[in-house]
Amino acid sequence: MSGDDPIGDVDSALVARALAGEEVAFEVLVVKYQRRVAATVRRFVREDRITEELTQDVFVRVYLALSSFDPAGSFQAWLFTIARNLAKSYLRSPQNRMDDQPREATVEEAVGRSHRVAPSPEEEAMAHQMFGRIDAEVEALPDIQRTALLMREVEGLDYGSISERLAMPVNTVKSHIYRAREAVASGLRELLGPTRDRRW
Amino acid sequence: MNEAARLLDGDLSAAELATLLERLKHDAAFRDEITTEQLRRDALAGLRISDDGYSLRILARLRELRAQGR
Repeated sequence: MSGDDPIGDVDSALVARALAGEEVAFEVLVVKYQRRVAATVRRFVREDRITEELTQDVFVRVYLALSSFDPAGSFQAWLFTIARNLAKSYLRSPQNRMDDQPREATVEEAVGRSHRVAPSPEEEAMAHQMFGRIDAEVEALPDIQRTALLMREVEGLDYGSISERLAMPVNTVKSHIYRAREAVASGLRELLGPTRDRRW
Repeated sequence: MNEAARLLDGDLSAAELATLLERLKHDAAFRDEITTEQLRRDALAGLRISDDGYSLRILARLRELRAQGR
């Protein structure tokens, strides 16, 4: 492979860089997978606070075990296996099962925000507005852009497969997807601006 | 193509990855592009969870860990 070839498996490349001491590479993996890990954990536990604690534990465990990751394998599969095992292991304890009951946050939790507490009405309204905006932007896309975007990001097809299905050159597919992404993201940027300090 | 999307897709060379990672260390606007791009992707995939400090708290845990020399 020459230095100009696409790296393909970016997750393995990010792991290699994290192992070489480049912390920002692991941060990208956290940002990329934190929602999916939280959603995986959430299938096992009920409480927001426990979901977040376990999600943090998953990334800590992955970080500490990074050198044992086989770069020939899938980082995503490895990560979700760890997430499932950790959630199952947590629920083996009867005390933990008792703790995993939805409840109001304590004052310390609400003030310290070391983990998620129930979202405030403002946060809920913001999330509602944000996801509504995404739906509206996707709905407003020209058919071909919306189709290409959904094939890529919901069906998980690669550019070559989309090109075959839509009977158009790969570069045209890329161009449609680029425009679709930009159209949806521009609305999001506008909405997310005021909450910058809560993000990476 | 959008650089955040290329990074998340792995649609870039090793040299470009090195350059973008270097940029992420000091470019908050680019970090925000990555966050927004991933949020949009997750939302389209049905994961309707806003970030609300989630990533920052995970990264804070990792920093504590490193400060302890682990």
